[in-house]
Order: sequence, then structure tokens, then C-alpha cells
Amino acid sequence: MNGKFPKLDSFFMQFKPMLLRRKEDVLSSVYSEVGIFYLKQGYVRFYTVSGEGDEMTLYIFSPNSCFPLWLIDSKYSGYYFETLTPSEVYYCDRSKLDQFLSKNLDVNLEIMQQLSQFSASIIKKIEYKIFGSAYQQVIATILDLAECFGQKDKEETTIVYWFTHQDIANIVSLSRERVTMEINNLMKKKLISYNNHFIIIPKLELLRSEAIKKDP
Amino acid sequence: MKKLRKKRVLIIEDEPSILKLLAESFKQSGFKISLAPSAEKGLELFRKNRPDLILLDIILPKMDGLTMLKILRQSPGGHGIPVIVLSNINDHKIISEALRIGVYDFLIKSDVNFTRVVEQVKEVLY
Repeated sequence: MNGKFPKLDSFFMQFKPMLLRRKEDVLSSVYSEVGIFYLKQGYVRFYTVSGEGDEMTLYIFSPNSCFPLWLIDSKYSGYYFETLTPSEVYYCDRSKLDQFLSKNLDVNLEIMQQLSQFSASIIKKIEYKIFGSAYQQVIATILDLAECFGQKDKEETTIVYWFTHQDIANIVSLSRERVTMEINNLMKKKLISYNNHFIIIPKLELLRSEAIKKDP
Repeated sequence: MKKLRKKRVLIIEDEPSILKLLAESFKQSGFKISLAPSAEKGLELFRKNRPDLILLDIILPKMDGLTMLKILRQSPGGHGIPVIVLSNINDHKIISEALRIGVYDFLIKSDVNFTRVVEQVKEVLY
């Protein structure tokens, strides 16, 4: 959910900000279960956990995102929000946001845009999880990170944050060893490289087409 | 078996007791360390011996930590170094600005567990 939503941003600035370190549970910063968060800075991973304890990342929220908009009564059970990076988050009761939205109908369009992007991403994620190989899932995760953190210089995209293989493994729900193996495969094919701890993607389109190959 | 290069951590902190505790924790865990009690000295050491990670106190005498961070990010090789900022107080504006400039994480000194800091640094460097 990229892009600036100035009215929404101004609305949330009246509430008290919370600064969260990386890998912090967002929900533990509040006591109520009927509120909405606004992510001013940083990135938050939204995931669920199966009965067997397997995690599945459903979405990565970018700055200027609201969540969880899709929960009718905003009860969070079964869903988790963890900061991927240090983050600045605001929080308000759902009723306050609803009141604001009823008086600012144009902001509803901003909310709809966020929800559309969110839905499209979830569908793609589920598709990859069910039909994709580990290799394809790792590529999809790197592409997601490029979408959030990528800085472009001509054809090259640099993921500007210090993600370890373990971080990627947590996001894609594979073992760290498997992620290392797939990343090494990608590096051998020169589809990605590293500069210090930043992942470099020489050509995004090549990596995207690799993700949809039947026999990579 | 290939021997892993020892990683270097640059610690910029003006409180001598905290500087000493951090230095000991990292040294015991096998890191090379560079120590600076000021931002100016920190920049000097960064240019002399490129560190793998920087622990940076926000409140420093003369040049403050945020100014140093901005200079670091604009310096050759400074863009990609992970920085963990240390703050003595939960000062929202300062930490928020540090996030904007670009940091790996932040720590509140009164809450910090030095063993966990070392573990966190190992996570990102190894």
C-alpha cells in the first residue's frame, strides 16, 4: 500500500505516536482490540499461524497504510502484525475513524485503494504458496521486498534494508537453509547479487519472468 | 574450513560506563571494536577503519548523533552500513528522525540488555 494519503495522515497525527523496534509485535503496544493502526514510517508484516505452528505472511504494510481495515469489528484473533523494520505507528479506536470517514467521503477512496492493493496481494500470495516451488516463493518474497524497499538506479534495483537470510525465511515460511540454497541459485544465475547486506536486482523483469517459469 | 573474518563494530557513546560495558560485551563475543566518545571521533574512525556496524548514541557533545548519521549516509561507503541508534530517553522526535534518515534499529539505553544487543548484531552481520 504505497503512496501518500495526506488527509488520512493528518487525521492520525492527532493521536499519540508509538515507536516500535524491528521484530516487535504491534498488537502488544495497545490494550484494546477494536482499533485501527496507521503506519507512518517503517514496514509491518501481517501473518497468520496454522494449527501446526506454521506461519504464513499475507502482506507487508508500507508507510501511510492503515490496518486492519478488513476486519469488520477489528478483532485481531488469529492474525499477527510484526514490525520488519523500526516503525512509527499511530492508533485510534475504530469508531473515531468511522466518524472521520463519514465526514470525509473522499478519504474513503484512499481506503478503497489500500484495500484493493491488499486483496490483490493476498490472492497472489496464496497462489504462490499453493502452486509455487520454494524457489518461486523466495523470488516472490524478494520481489515484494523490492516493491517496498527498492531504490532504482537505471535498470538496477537495490533493496535498501539489511535483510538476512533468516529474515527472508521468516517472511516466506521456509527454513533458513532452504532460503540460502535458493538465493545461491539466484546469484549463480546472476539474477541477484549483494552489495554489503543490500540485495541488488540487476533487472526486475528478468527476476519476475523467472518466478513464473514452469521449470526454473 | 574457511575462517570467518572478524567483524568490526564502531561504538560511539559519550557515557564511559556504557561504552566500557558495550566494548567488553562485543570483545568477549569475538568482535573487533573501535571506540569513540564523540561524533567527530566516530567519523574519523569510520573513515580510517571501515566498520561492519555502528552503535551510535543520539545525544553526544558538540556534534549530535543525528547530524553524524546524516553525514555518514552521505559519505562514500556510509550508505550501506547498518546503524543501531542508542537513546537515553524515549524521545519520539529524535528517534523518528533517525528512522527517516535510515537505521537498522534503535535501543533505549535504560531497557537494554547488552547480551541481546550482541546477539542482534550477530544476526545481521553473520
